[in-house]
Amino acid sequence: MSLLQTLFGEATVNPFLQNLRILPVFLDIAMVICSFNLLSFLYRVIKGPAMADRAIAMDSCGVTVMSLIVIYSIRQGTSLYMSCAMVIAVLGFIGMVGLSKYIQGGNIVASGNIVLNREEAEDLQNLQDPKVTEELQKKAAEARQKAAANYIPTARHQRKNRKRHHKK
Amino acid sequence: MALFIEILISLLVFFGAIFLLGGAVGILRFPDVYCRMHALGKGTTMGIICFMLAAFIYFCWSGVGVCIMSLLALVFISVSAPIGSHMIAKAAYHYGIPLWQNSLRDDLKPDCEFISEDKADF
Repeated sequence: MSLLQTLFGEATVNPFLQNLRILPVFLDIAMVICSFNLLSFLYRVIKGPAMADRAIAMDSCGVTVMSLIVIYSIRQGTSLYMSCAMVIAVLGFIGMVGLSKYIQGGNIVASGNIVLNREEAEDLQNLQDPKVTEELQKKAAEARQKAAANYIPTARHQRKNRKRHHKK
Repeated sequence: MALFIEILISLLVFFGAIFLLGGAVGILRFPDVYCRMHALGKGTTMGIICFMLAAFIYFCWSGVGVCIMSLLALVFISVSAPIGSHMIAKAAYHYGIPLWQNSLRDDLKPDCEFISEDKADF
């Protein structure tokens, strides 16, 4: 008596699988392990400190769901579910690419390191904060010089400059 | 022969689950984003390769027919999962997530302009 058979009754009985002895046991073991994996990935999605953690955990959730689909289709005896697995793989890859682009768009982590573009280097130099040490300001000046060397005006920067010049 | 194929499919399914379990333990226990990504990239890729091979052999053996879709998913996952995890790692580094405190070397550091106030332990 396998696990799915006890849950769903006679609907999931595959007549080819009923003659086998070893494979249903291993399918049950793999299903239990995959559910544990899903729980641990969900734990990382909830608790993960950075957004990259959540992104990779959600992608691994997709991979684990793909493996569960494979187990279920082996148990059912049809290969129709494989297209679902393929769709989940494609969507997971597209989601990974989009999330990586989204993560790269952010500029400042609140308590950690700072990635500078030109405007923020200017803002940081004009800052009169005793927390900002002299070393930090020196590094900000270096970063500003380096950014000014290969500076390409973005649309946001142009808009800001126009506002600044046409205000009065 | 039938017993041999059955044992082969069972071992493929079992090792796929074990690889995924390795990824799960890695994502639970490792201290850093990059270490977790290192565990997950290998674990999920190898696990899904084992599962898809098991499905392909099973469907060929049980008379359903040659399932091209599983081989297609295998190839696609084994190409796209390293690319995706590499992109996420690069994006996380550019975002400014610090490395683990005890990590030894940082090869990306001269390429990027970072100002690190403190080494926060994520």
